[in-house]
Amino acid sequence: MTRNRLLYTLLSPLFLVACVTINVYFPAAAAEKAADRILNEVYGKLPPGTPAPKPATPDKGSDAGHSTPLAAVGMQVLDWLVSPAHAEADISIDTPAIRAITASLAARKPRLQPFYASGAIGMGADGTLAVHDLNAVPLKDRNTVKQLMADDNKDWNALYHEVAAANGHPEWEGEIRSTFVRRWVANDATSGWWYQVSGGQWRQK
Amino acid sequence: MRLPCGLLLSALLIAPRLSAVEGLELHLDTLAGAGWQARNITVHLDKLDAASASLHLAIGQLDLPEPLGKLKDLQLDCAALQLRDDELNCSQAQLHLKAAWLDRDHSTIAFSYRPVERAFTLAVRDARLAAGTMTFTARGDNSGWRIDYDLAGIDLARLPPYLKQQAGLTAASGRASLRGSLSGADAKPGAFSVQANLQTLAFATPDGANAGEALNIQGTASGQRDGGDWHVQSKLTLHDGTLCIKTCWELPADPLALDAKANWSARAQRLDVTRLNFRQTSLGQGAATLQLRLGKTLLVNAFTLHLAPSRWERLYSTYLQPLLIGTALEAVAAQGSVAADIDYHATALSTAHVRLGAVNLEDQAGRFGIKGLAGDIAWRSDTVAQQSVLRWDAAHVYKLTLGAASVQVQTQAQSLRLQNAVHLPILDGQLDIEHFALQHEPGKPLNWHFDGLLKPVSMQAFSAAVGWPVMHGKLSGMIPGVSYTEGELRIGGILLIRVFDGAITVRDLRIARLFDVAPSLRADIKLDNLDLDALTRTFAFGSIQGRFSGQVDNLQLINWRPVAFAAGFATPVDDRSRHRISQRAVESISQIGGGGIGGVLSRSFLRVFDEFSYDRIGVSCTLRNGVCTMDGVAPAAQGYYLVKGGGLPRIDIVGYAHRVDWDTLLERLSGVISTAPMVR
Repeated sequence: MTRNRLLYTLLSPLFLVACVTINVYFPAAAAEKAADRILNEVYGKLPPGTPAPKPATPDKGSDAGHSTPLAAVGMQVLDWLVSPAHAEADISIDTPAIRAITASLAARKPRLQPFYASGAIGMGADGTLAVHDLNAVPLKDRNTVKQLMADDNKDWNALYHEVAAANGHPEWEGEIRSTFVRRWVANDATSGWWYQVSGGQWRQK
Repeated sequence: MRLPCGLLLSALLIAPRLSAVEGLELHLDTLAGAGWQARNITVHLDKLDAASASLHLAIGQLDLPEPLGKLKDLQLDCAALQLRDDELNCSQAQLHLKAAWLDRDHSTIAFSYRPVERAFTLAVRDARLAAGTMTFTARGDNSGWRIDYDLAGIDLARLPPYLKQQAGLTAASGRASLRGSLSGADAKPGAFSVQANLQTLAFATPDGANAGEALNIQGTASGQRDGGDWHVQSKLTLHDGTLCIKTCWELPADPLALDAKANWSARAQRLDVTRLNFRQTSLGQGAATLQLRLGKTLLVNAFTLHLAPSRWERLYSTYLQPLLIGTALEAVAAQGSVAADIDYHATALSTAHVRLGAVNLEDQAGRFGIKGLAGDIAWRSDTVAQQSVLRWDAAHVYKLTLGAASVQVQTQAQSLRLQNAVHLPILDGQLDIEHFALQHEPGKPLNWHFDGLLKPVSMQAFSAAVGWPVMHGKLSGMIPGVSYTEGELRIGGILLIRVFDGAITVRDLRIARLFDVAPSLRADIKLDNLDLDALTRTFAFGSIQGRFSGQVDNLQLINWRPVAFAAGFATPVDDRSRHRISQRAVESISQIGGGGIGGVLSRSFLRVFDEFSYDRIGVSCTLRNGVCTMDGVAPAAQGYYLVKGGGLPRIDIVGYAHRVDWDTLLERLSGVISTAPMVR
């Protein structure tokens, strides 16, 4: 028993360090807020001043450090030392590149609108536009749609890359993409527009 | 009951001898011959005499060789059937039959049959099909059969859905006229010929990926069956309209003429186009071969193309541009000539040899252009190295003009390497490129790098090219590594700008999304011992004498406009040069400062001096979110010194605003530089 206590005492700083490391998680709620702001600028759905949506449940990584009693104590000490607001990473989207890309997407959106509405295109699971039904596009507009989609997708890819890079976590890009798709479906897609779920199947809002 | 075909006819032929019989009716379950079968047959003969009779024939279902298929409820009435020993013949009969593709269920026909030779003829004169007319004659004997048809003015939109389904289309419209023949020795056709004229043809497959609109196709085709395969020859011209095979092409009015020879294997679902000669006045001519796997998805197994010297304008605008959407070449004005030999095997390009002559390309967004591009480009997918030569007369990247150059490169599979040292004129200087290597692994982004030396470019030319006020001096540098990876251009080494009797060095220069949305540049810049006199004269700012050093850390440009940096410039601490600032420069600094900076200069007695003495001069600005956080050379009461006086007549300029709107600052700066009146 004494040996165990000694071991815990020796290991406790390690647990604390472990807590700090684990606590760097993808800030789901902040990412949703960021996505909502950008998507609202592109699609202009929410009137200005609309309160941000209720944050989603914190991400899986946040509780990981509580698995042993001692780690739980460590976590409390950490919470006391560093307030939760500090511990939770934020998503910054206020960079000139993100603003420029957002403006470019917003400027193109009116030209894409009829193709969203006709079901020709929809939001793919990776957060870029995809063809849903080519039959809905008159042949004379096919290359225009192809061009608009290529331009828009360059912007979307640059946007996700920039948001991840601006926050110093390039590895977040995948989660940022799926957050954008989720918020797009919830807020920005008009009823009748199409989107792709992660298995590749199409659903209509 | 299944009877040999001749039995029914034998009955008819012996009928005249049954002189006591006035009528005869025969019912048969099935009657079959080579390639056809009839079920539920009723034959009714009336008014029988020695040489004629009245015939009523009803067949429940008649199965004929494709594409005629199944015919139902066939009724035939012949009022005057001629009966002779060796032949029966009807020169005018009414045929009633229901078929999915017929507009009208009755037509006038003629037929004859000679049992000894088993020879028949059948002529249909006035059938109506989808708003058009159809005539056809069929004849056959022991050795085979042949149908000659003539379909005119068929409205494809009115074809029954059944026929569109057969063709795998969800929509079809347009006018078609087809004439030709179909023949065979057994149930399956052995040969066909068709002469077609299709006007304003439109069609679409169920997924919409393959479709056409307003197409005009004229031509002939013929084919012969060889076992399970078909050998087909065709000559076609296409003009106008849109054709989509995944990608959509707008065809010009100038007809594209095709002359093709192909083998089709139904069993393997394989189409081998062994010859496809093409010619178009506005393009040129060439030849291709193609191996396709049809079936659920279309697969190109192999493809070769030989293009004789052809015109870039047509090749690019009609055929290549739709394939290049989403690339840097998606919208260029193109001129010149191009010839090519391309070999595509097993889903990948295997060899390519392209010869360019006097090609001009100009990006319509003005990002790049090249003039007089000529040369041979050779490439193979295997490891055999190929040599290419390219030269051009002039080029530009944005407003940076590049002169004529000639390059020899070696391509080997997915890589490209420069073979000669290239001396590329850039503005009025020169970029010497020692090494250049490019890699494009499948599925990975293109990347390249080069090492070079920039021989002096005058700042006059450079500042004019980038739209800055004209500066004097030289731009040069050792560029040990320029690389382009995943859309980002990085310039290693140090760019050295010898200007204003000092030096500006640029390090760690990176440009992301060079040709895409919001190009983003970042760099670290150091200014060393610049002569303020030369600088201020260039910008008509008012004269300041002295020296100036500083740095711009983490400079970021988006769309070529500064959005962030941490900059600071000041008189070097050990500077021993003459430190004078003119009345005009003091005014300029005050104007730039607006209400916030400057204003210390007394408007009264200090005006008697043309210039003042100072100890140090300096400013710093950290730009973030459109706001410049400013500071000077030393703290002052409630502010900071922009100019700290020393000697006589002495002047201090103090700044008070710590946060200044960047755009306002730029406006004021450009106002001061452009007005540039000298205050006396």
